[in-house]
Amino acid sequence: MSGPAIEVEGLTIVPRGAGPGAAVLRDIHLQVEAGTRLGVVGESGSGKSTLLRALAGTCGRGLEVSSGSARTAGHDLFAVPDDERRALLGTAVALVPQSVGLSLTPHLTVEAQFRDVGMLDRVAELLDEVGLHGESMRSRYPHELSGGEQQRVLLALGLARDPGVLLLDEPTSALDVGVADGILQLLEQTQERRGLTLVLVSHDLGVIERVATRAVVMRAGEILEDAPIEQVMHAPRHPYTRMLLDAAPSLGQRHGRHRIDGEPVGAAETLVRAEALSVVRTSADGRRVRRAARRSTTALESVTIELRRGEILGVIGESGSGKSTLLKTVCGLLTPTSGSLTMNDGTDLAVPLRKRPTSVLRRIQMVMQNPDDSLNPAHTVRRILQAGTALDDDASAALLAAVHLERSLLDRRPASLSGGEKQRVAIARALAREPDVLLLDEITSALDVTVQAAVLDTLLELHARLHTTIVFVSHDLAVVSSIAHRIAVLRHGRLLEVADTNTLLAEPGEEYTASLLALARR
Amino acid sequence: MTAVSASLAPTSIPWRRRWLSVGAVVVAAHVLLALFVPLLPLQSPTAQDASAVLQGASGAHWLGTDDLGRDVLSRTLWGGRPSIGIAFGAVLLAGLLGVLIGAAAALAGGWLDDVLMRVNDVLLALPSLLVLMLVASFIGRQPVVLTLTLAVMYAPPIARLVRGATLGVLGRDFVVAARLRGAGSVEIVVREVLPSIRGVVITEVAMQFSWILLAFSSLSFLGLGTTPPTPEWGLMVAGARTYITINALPLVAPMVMLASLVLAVNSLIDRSALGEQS
Repeated sequence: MSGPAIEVEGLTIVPRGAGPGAAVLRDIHLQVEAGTRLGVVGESGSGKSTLLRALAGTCGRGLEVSSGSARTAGHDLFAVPDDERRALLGTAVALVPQSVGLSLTPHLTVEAQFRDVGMLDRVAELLDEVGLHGESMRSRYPHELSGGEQQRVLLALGLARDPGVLLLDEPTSALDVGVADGILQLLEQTQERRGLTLVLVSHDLGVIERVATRAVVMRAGEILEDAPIEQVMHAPRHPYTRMLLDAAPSLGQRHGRHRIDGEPVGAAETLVRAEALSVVRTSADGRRVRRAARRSTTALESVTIELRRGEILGVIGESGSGKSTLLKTVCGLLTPTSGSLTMNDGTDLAVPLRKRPTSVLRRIQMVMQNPDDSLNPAHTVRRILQAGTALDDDASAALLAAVHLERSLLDRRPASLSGGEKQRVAIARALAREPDVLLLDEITSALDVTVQAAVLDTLLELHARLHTTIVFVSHDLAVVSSIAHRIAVLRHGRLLEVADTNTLLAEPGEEYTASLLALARR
Repeated sequence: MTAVSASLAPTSIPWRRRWLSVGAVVVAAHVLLALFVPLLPLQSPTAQDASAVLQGASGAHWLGTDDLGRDVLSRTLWGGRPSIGIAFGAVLLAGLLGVLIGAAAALAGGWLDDVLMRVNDVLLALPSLLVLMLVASFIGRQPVVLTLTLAVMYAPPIARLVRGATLGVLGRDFVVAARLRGAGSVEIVVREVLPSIRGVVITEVAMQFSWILLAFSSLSFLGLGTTPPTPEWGLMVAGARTYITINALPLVAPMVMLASLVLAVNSLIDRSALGEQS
């Protein structure tokens, strides 16, 4: 094939009724040769998803095209009548949507999803093509599929009517690294076999590098850089691209100015010790479920680990590995079924939350993953920080300053804060209680890479000043290895190994760790 | 995705647009009237005049007179006092009850939740007007009795809503954070849950105000609410019904007042709910 499959000329998309100043996409020029793979990278708000949808001829609710045109597979999809455009969607161009959990109709079986696009007779062939074999797959419902399987079904649905152009929105961002790797391989193979034109949007330069031959870097609705992937990765022209590359943590590279090297202060002393710790969880925490309907799963099995004073302990694992369970058990949200959990002064931590005295609660604080959920939207930052403490405004402002936020934020509510700011407020709230142990549960996974880098910077700075003991849980080995003294690897509720970061990177003791490292090095 | 949601996030609705509406003005007028009607230069709402019954509008009686020769304008303006007073008291009590029961059920869970909610279901299943009639006939029709009965009968929908909304909030991370700092159940409900569900609760309580107002007027219409000769809309409608072909004004005037208050309350809720969404 030859000639451009996608031609975008001067495309500007604005919120309906707004002037060009508020443009979501500004004067976009883009050409994609047929049969090539393009990656679009950018942070949230960069307009990358809007661009992808524009290539399928839609521009999202409340948005409109103010000028320019987008020709995909030879059709100006914004100009053709609606019914003609609908006929072209799926046959000329297919869009595979982002959110894996929400994109399959929940009450339809896999087979029925294909019936809806009129491809019932090709189900087996299509499922085979995306690596889902076996009859049983056809009669399953979306909730019976894993995240990776759902993504594969979505891909098969996109391919069902043999489109020439395939658009993918963040196909791997909700998946564990191993699963994501499989999907990316599949994408490459499928593209080569079918000669597709592939456009893939991601916030992760690593994903783009694996799949695309050419990359477009976007920020604030504009294309900053458009070049072959090698050039973008190794000799970027635009300073923003360089910033993105620097912000992305890479294995074994220590993070930022306050880098962690050598032994932590007071490392000889054990602060919290877990011995043969097991946690059995019942579904929905058991409380509201009839006894017969409860299903028990062992979330942690015989974990023995010690937390040393002043260290940053990284905990890594895939979803379902028990890493969040470990944190919740330490802070008291879950009670261990067996084993012991004690602090160095003899305080028993293997008791439910309400049996822990306030003085013990204060010593262990947690910051949660989702910044949108962890601050009460009805409260001001002042109220959030001062709840249950004797802090005055000056002390609160000092706390905000410690996480690099302005005093003026005291009167703001969470809705007017960015994701990074919210996460900083959550950290400040935890610090307000002057904890001995700070538990951090995937606190940067909902953030853009540049924001993540800044938050990690702040965290290391705080650690250098306060020597707070930190447990940092993440699914991202690169992030963990960039800030942790030691790393613990969890899988299926078991602790596989704990080792100094450098040791673990150089000579992993377990095959699983080695495979994680291999995936992270790609 | 995020680009779209960010640029389309509803800007907060200005205070004036949210609260200054036709609904707000009408509700305010009703409340002020109920409070200050004794100060207005009106004729007595209970003085009868056998020589001037069922008259049409005139200079002496702007809205005419009813079957006993009483001034309809005066009776209509006075007629909101019992309903609005009782409905206001009952809805405040119902709101308090509903929030207490709903929050307690959600927090406690287990058997207490089951018991509270099944009792709630039973109350919801009873036709409230029938219960009101029974209470009025057998216990009495004093305002205190009626207010309490109305409060009990109209608390269950509020309780159910509060329970559901509270359960939704209890699982969120900021409540977990509050538990981790050692906050007790009461503190969690007052500090974390109620501020977050304020919008839906206020809306539901205000909705119940309309229902209570209508229920009380219906009771008066059936002769079991306010006692004659006290001016009250439901009672006026009941008395004027027979003479509708001779003079419709004594019937229409209280109906317009009742309908305008209920509609205005509902439109006010719509507006404030609009604001809560943003």
